[in-house]
Amino acid sequence: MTDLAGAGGAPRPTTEQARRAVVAAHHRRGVRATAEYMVGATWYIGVWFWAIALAVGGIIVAAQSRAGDVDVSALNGPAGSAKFFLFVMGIVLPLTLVVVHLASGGTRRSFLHGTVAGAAVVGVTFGLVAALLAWAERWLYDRLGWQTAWPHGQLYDDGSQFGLVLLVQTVFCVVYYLSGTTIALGYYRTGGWLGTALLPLALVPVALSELVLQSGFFGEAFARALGLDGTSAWLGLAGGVVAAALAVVLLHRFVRDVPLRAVD
Amino acid sequence: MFDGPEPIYLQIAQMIRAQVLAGETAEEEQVMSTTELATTFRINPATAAKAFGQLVDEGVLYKRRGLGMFVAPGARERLLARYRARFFDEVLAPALAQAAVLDIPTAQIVDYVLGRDGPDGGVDGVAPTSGSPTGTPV
Amino acid sequence: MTARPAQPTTAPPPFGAELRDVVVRYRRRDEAPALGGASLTVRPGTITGLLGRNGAGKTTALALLAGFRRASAGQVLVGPAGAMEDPFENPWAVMHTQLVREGGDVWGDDRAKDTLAHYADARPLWDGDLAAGLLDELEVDLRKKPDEMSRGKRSALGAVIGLASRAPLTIFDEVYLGMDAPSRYAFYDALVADYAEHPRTIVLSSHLIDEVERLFEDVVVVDRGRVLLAEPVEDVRARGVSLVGPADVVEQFVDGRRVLSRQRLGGTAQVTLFGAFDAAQRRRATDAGLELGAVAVQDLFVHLTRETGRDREAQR
Repeated sequence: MTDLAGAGGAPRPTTEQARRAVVAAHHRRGVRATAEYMVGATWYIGVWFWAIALAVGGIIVAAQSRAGDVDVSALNGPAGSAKFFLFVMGIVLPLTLVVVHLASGGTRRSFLHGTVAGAAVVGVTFGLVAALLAWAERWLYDRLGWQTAWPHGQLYDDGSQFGLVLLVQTVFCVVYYLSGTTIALGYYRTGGWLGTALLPLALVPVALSELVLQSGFFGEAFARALGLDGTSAWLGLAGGVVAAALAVVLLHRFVRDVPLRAVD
Repeated sequence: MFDGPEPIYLQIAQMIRAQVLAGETAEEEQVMSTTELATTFRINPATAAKAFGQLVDEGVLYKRRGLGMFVAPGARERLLARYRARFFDEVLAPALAQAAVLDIPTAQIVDYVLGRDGPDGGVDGVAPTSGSPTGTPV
Repeated sequence: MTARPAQPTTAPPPFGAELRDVVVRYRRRDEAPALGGASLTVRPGTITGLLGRNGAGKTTALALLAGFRRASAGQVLVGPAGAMEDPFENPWAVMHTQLVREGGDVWGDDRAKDTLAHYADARPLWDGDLAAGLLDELEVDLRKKPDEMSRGKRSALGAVIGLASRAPLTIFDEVYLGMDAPSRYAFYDALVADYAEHPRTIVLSSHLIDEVERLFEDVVVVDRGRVLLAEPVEDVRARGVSLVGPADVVEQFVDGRRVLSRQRLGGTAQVTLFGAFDAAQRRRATDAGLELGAVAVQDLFVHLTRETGRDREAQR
């Protein structure tokens, strides 16, 4: 047997300190592993999503130029649907992970932190791609002398507002992703009926983000009805951040004491 | 293996004693480690360790630090002496008591014992089957 | 996967585990809770067998120890002797507790090596060499997806994860399902060998009692959400005795004891009795020409769990 107590050796940290260090390292590892899994798996499929979005955009451009007149952004639609893609990924991914994460000695806390960190990374990177594509499209259209007005429905007018596109799309991506995760865990812990009953609750952050960012036909109409259509972009973005925070709070409520289901 | 009514560790200890008595394991020879014993017989290592502990207490085995368990010098002699001493109390005395109950004269028993010692002595199938040194320790 | 941040990897001492009056209800108004006031102690450093019939509450009890769920009432504690804590959301406790459930809690859709890499990263005391050797011996192909493996291979993967994690509290919940006999014995051998070299606490739940009873130091029997007994396996074995010999002599020794089984062949009888048989009684029995044998834990288990079933029916 080796001398585990290290008696007589170099002075060692007290066990309490050592334990705190081990626990902290373990927490970081759990957070990192969760975030890496979320980001990796999302982008693994996300590459295909963007490839298809680009292809669809290309087809729209081709169709329009053949018809003789390019007057609508080709990428606004496909790129704007990134949030829906992430909503689905948010539903699909966490359930396979949470079981293995807890079974390998992880905590619900590190799972939550990792999921939120992963959602942030996914949100920013997807927002970045969306903004880059919008900006590139604008640049291309300008070069070719195509004067297009973007359809209404966002805080920005077109892809030249790179920063604004990035921020708006990032907020959407984070909120949709986390709400998807919340829905998945709601079904996991409460089953079919209650899970469905909790659906509207999990969708509150999504509705809030659409409202404050005055996004799309419904978002705009809703904002107008509440008299919020005049608010500045920055105020809208602040509201978007609140929506994301709300999504985190809801996810926390669902995750913090979720029991692992028995194996059938 | 080890299906007797005694705790398994006692049965293991008895097996090792029998090996020493029979000279299968010589003095100063290394015996199996706890781990080997546990894996060989698929038993709990603590059970194996308990058996060794008992044998060390009895002076049958001794431990060399970092090397393992060895048969103690004089272990066989000690065991022989112990079992010889017990033989009369535990094997012969009950048999003689039984003989007395059955009214078997002492002379007949003596004849039987002497007959067995002869070259053609002994009666097939009547030789005692119990009471071997591996019988029942207490 | 190989490069790991420097961190203390000193193994904590083996963990003990304890349930105190634990109740678990899966539904709020469950009349028959999964655990209804269960109390048990797993001594640190032992291999403890957890026995119980299907639905007795074994799996629920084990899930509590690993922090997979929370008790509706009562106390759950794991940790080194003198420093036991509630494992639920307790990073120190759960990082040192490995529960292997049926199916192994793996990523079924990805190659097995992905799951293994995850556990290797997550478990502070993981031994990659041990894992590799065992996978080889049990013929588990890491390039395969667990969902495409046979049940036995998938169970073997779980068994390897459990052993290689070297957790101070390692729990196998019917890990053998689907494994063929050679694989099961290879697992038992690996378990004993690694346990001997790296002392830790191992809890093993199994229906194959004959195969594993020798591995146990302690045994816990649960039945219908309660703990029937929790004691060293030698004490369990001493709860009964089997006698073989002339039928009339054997019957004298039955002496009002409960007979678990009785067989006769001509004038010879074998009975299995429930109830302690002390040294003096043993002596008398051997002197009377009877052969004494141990009672298999399996037989006592069947007897004990059948008994409570009858009691319950009698109460109704």
